[in-house]
Amino acid sequence: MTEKSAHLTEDQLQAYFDGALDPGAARNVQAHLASCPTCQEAFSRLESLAFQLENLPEFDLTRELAEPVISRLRVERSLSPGITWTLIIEALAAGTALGLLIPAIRSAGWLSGLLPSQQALQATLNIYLTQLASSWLVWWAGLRLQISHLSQGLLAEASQLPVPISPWILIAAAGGLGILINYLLLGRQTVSGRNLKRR
Amino acid sequence: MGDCFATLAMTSHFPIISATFLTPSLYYNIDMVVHGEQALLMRVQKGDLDAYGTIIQEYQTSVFNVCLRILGNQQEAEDLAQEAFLRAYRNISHYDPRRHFGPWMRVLAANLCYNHLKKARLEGTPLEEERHRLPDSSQQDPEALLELAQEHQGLYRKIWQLPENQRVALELRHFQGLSYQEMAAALKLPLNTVRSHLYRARRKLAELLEEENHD
Repeated sequence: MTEKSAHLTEDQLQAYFDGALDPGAARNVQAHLASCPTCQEAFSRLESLAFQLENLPEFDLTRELAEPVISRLRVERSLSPGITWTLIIEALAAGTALGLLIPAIRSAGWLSGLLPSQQALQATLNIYLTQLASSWLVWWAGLRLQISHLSQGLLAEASQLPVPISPWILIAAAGGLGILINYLLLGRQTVSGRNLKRR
Repeated sequence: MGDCFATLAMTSHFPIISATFLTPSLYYNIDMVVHGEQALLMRVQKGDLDAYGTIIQEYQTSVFNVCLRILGNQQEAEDLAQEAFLRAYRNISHYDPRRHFGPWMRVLAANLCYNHLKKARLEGTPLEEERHRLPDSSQQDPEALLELAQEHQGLYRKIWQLPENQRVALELRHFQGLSYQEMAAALKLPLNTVRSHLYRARRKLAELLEEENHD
C-alpha cells in the first residue's frame, strides 16, 4: 500500500479481515479503505464470502453415533488389545520357560553336588511349578480376560490380521499348553516318586 | 416438547415415566441438563461411558457437519465422526474439562478428516467426482432439503473442489473461529503455511463463485 501500489494487496485485506495485523498496519488499512472504493469493494466481497460460508446450513445425521461408539468402547475396555496380546505372549513365554526349566534342572549335574537329593528337589519343584502354572493359567483366563468378552475382542483383532485366527484356537492353545505342562510336570513327579520308592 | 418431558422426568414424582416412556436420547438430554457438561466430562475422564454417551448425543451433529464439510461424503463423514468420538475418548486425559468440549472435539474431528484425505490422496484412492455428494435426501425432510440443496449445494460443491489443506483451513478459520496460531498448532504446520492455505482457499472460492455468476 505504497504510493506506487495504489491498492491494498489481497493478503493485506485478508489479514485485516482476520484481525491479524498489528495495530499500526490495521490503522493504515482502515484509513485506505475509507478512501478507496475499489478496495472497499474487494473487502465487501471477502465479507460476503465469509458470511456465506458461516451461514451454510447443517445437515442431519442418518444414524445415531452414541450407541456404536459406546458399545465399541465397552468391548475395548473389557479387552484391551495391547493387554490381551501381552498376556498371550506372557502365557506362551511362561509355558515355554516352565517346559524348559525341568529338563534344564535335570540335566544340571552340578546340582547333585550342591543338594542332598536331586530327585527330592525335583519332586518338590515339580509340585510347586505345577500348582503355579495351573493357578496362573486359571487366573489369567478366568479373571483378567473375562471369557464372555474374549471372543468379541479377539474376533475384532483377528479380523485385522492377514490370516484370521479364531479366538477359540487361542484359548484351546493356552488350555492345551496348560495340560501339557501339567502332564509333563506331574508325569515327572510320578516317575520321581517311583524312583524314590525304588531306592 | 423435549424440555417438557425432561423437566417432568427430573422430578422425583414421576419415576415411572422417566423409567418407562423416555427414549434413550431423551435420557441423554436429561443427564446433560441435570449434571452439566463439565461434571459429565469429569465423569467421562474417570471412565464413565454413560456420561460419554450423553456428550456424544450433544455434539454428534456438529462433529458430523465438520466431517461432511471437509470430506464431502455422507457415509464417510458419519464413519469419521464416529472414529473422532472414539479417538476423543482414548485421548480424554489430554482434555482440560475447564475448556469447552465442543471446539476441542470439532478441531480433533477436522484434523482426523484432514489426515484421512491426505492419506487417501497419497494412496491414490479418492475419486473426487464420486466423493462429493450431498447427504441422501431420502433420510431427511425432502422439501426442506431440496430447498437447502438448491440454495447451498453450489457453495458446498465449490468447497469440495478445493485441495484438502485449503478445505481444512477454511473449516478451522470460518467454522471453528480459530486464529492463525491455533490453526497452526492444530494442524502441526508452520503459521505461514496455514495462512497461505487459508488465503488461497478464499481466493479460489471467490473465483469459483465469480465463474458461476458469469455462467
